[in-house]
Amino acid sequence: MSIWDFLLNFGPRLASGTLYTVAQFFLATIIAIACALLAGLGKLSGNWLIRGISVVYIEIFRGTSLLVQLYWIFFVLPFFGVTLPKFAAGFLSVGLNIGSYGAELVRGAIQQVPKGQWEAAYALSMSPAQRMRRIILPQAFVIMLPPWGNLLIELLKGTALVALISVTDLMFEAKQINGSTFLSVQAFGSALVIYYILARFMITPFMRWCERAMNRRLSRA
Amino acid sequence: MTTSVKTLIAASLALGVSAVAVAAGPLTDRIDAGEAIRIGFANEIPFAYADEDGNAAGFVNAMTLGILQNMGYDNIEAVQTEWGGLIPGLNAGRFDIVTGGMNILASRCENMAFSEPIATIGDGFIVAPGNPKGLETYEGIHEAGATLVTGAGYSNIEAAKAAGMTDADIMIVPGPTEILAAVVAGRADAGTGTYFTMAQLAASSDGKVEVTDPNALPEETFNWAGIGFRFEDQDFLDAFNAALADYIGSEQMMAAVAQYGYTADTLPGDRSTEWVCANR
Repeated sequence: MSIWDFLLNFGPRLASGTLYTVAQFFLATIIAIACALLAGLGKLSGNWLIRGISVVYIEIFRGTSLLVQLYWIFFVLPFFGVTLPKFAAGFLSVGLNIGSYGAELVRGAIQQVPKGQWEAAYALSMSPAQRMRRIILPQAFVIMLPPWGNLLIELLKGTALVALISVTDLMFEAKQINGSTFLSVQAFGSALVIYYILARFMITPFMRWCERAMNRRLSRA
Repeated sequence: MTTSVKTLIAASLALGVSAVAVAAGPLTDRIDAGEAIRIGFANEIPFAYADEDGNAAGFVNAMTLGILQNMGYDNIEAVQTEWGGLIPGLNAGRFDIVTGGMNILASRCENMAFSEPIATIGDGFIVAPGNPKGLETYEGIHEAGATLVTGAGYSNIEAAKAAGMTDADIMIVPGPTEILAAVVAGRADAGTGTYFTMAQLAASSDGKVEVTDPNALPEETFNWAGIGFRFEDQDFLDAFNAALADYIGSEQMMAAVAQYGYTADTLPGDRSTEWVCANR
């Protein structure tokens, strides 16, 4: 079957799968950014409890494989009484996993902001919250954007694993189509191209736009 | 209090609790709450698979839906997943009935309660056209030193090991699609699964593989398939088995399963699940 006939026949299924993938991506991104900020800032905290929790979170979720975490949240948590629906289990696992990598990016970026900025904020009698929100974080944000672009592409690829817990995303649909028609080249080739389009024409331009916007605001454009 | 009185109280409490536990399992609770009965299956053509529109197809699904309909339930939801995730998913409450077409094996009986047998099936092999290495049995494959490919969690793994093969000789892939791909690409000399599945793969492969004769395999490799339930759903399972006994071999059933290649030879006969659990 030619690729065009294939797309005509199975296009709607692939499109529906892509919508699920995009939904998983956005929800997982929100979780990842939230966890990364909390854990990254937490790791720099003076309070030993907050620092401890952040370190434990980062170590566990960075140190174990995403697939194992996904299976654990899906198959094992119900035995502890926590039964998440599969869609939620999917984006939560991916978000938590990527968030732990992001936490290190956040921490590194904050530490990269020149020490002079901290001293100047102190000299101006800014409270720690003001200093972080108005001076340090905006500059740290610009520093951490390029590696975050990488991480978000990793996140997009990580969402492909949710197909293994029966979430009907793009990967699931591609495997289904392959399972009933054996048209591996067309099915997986289309999935490959769609993931590339999502990464190259959705994530990358958006991150570049973010970098330009932030640089403009910091008068570095 | 004396020991004997304490024991009596403890025993009656345990009996009372266990009686209550058997009275209403999680599936019955779901049904009473108005929720759908979820059937879980993978992609095993013709046992249980999702058709082009995503509906439950395959003879095990057809039989399960028929029996549930006879029992008065029509609120059924199909959940498709990986074969290796069927028993874990059942026990984690992701679905309520496993209709994958699982063979009743002792190792599976420890983790899941099977219904009475619904079919009897032998194994089959797919090999390169012309069967160049003459592979017809597990012993033959072992002696030829050939590579066997089969699916994760399949009953064939145990059968192969019983014939003397080790983990190094058996290639494990997720399911039938990958088994076919491995044999076609020459990564394995023979692929195995149930005879039904292998025959269907050979038929849809445009001559790239052929299926061997199932009668070349000994009696011990013949298996009985059952429908899986959680241990806690014994109450529902008892009712299901009663309905199954009336349904099996009936005209309603044979009409529903004919299109999948299920014939009178596939009927399970008189074997009970208890016997199969002990002898497989």
